[in-house]
Amino acid sequence: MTGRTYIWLLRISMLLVTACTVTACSDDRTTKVEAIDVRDWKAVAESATESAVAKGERLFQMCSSCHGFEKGELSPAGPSLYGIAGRKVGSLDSYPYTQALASQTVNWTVKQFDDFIASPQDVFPGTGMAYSGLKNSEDRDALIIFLATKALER
Amino acid sequence: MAAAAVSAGAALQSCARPSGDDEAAAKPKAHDLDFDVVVIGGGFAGVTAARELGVGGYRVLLLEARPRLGGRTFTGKFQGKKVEYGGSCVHWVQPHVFAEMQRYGKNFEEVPLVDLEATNVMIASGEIRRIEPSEFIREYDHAMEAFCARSKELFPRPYSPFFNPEVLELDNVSAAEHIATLGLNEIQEATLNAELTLYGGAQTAEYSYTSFVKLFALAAWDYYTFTDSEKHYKISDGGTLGLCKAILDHSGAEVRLGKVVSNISQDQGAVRIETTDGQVVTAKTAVITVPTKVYDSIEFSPVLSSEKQAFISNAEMCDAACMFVQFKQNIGNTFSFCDDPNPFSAIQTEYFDDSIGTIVKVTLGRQSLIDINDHDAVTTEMNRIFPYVDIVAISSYNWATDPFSRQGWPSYRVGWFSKYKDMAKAEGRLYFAGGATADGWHEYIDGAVESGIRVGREVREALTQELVGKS
Repeated sequence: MTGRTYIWLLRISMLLVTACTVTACSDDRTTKVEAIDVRDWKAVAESATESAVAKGERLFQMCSSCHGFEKGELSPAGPSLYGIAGRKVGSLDSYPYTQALASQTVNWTVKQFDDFIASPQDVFPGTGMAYSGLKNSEDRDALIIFLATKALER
Repeated sequence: MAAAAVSAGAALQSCARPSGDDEAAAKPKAHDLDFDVVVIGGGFAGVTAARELGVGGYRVLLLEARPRLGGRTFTGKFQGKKVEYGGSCVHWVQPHVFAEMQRYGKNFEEVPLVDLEATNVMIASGEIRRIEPSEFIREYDHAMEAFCARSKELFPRPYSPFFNPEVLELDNVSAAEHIATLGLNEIQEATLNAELTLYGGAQTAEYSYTSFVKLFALAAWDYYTFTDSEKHYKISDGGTLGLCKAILDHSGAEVRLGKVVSNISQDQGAVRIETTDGQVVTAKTAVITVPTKVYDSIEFSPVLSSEKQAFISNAEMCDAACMFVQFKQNIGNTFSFCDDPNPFSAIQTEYFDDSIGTIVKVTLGRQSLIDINDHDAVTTEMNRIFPYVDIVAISSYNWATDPFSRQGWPSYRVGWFSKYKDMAKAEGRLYFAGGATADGWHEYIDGAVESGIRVGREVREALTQELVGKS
């Protein structure tokens, strides 16, 4: 992705994110929904460099066997990461979470995600995520930058 | 409860449900329990057991902890290509899985393997020997045949592995001890020891010699057939997941994913199964198919027999993981063995052409030798074997650290092959399956299917006496 395209996508996505946090339409009704705080993810995306995004995208290949990014997508073996920024942990209706995640009340902040991906079983013992952790903090930073740009593209 | 089943079905894109055209009418309900049978585990042992009982009209619930089916098989994608992250190899000399492939119209898909263009051997010290494929095959062939030279004598009837009682006498002989008696050269020893480290998921000093020779015997005591059976063919038409779904769809069983079983209790009339979300189901019987090391996460009341507890604590040690790596360059059809303690036990080309470069499958017998999530470490290790490649992408699945497997494939620690039947014995209303309980191909998909058929027969006989006898 070129820097120009990236900034353009970011501007579009910021508008979309803002809109989505104000209202949601269902049939004929317009319902006030709880705002999702994505400021920390936006800050990460805004400070991203192209090289960091590219590194994060390479690292994401290790996640792609289980996770996808499409809305409503049936990921092969893990929840879709569409909309993960700020989302409540274990909250996708269509996904059969284990109780370890379904019972959580916290949201996916950048820090929460960083802690989790470093050692999933330590943060949410009993999670079904078959991943032992990304120990290298620079790799985690790059992965989070990539996820932030993907999350805010929408 | 219904919502859970529906969501499970959505995640699966396939949800087995009772249908009107089952092969047998539903058995009369002779109790007030939720189900006749609860099957715990949605791998090949579990879905086969569910099918064996479901088509007989029994009301079956299958509980799976993961969000997917397949157990220690996992059909996924890597860089747009279908790959198998777990058990994958099938063959017509593996009768149970072959029969299932025939039943559901699944075909074989070749991996490159034949016509190798380059072969490498990393000896234990880490030095590389780049040898011609013809030499590689000749030396490995010699080593494998020497290791298994007594296969026909020890296992004249491989599905009755202790028919020759000498097998029991050799139970305390490790693979490493036997290798040491063979007088092998450097290449022979390195290739054989790497292969057996992979099979054992452990140092060969820990791995049972005779349990491996039994696998060789199952391939008609023949080196070519054995190698062909273990490395050459996968399942086409949806891979292992496609076959697993076909079996489950046939079962008519209700399926609930994301259900982690925490407690199993039984009394004279019923089994009570509790999951970590607090749900409880009751049934006449339960079939437990979880990997051996997962039993420790379940509380049994009454406790399991001391023999089972000993087997669970000691018998298995497979520390395996699987990884796919894409190279920018097309390096062609290659195969490499890396002897222990080098972590990449076997590296096999899966796809190669000038547009994709090369995708290799790496099988690690001992994943704990390297952090497979550390790209720098993986790149450094891979460049020791292929110094000229640029790594585009890496994806892995760590079976040893997956909380719902805790190990790779079933492999017996030295001294424990003789006790595998302890794990298969029913205890009250609890029945046990899984590859580790198989008489035949215990480290393979075939062994899981075999165990599902066996346990289906055991439960059917018990329920026929109990339920139909009452009606």
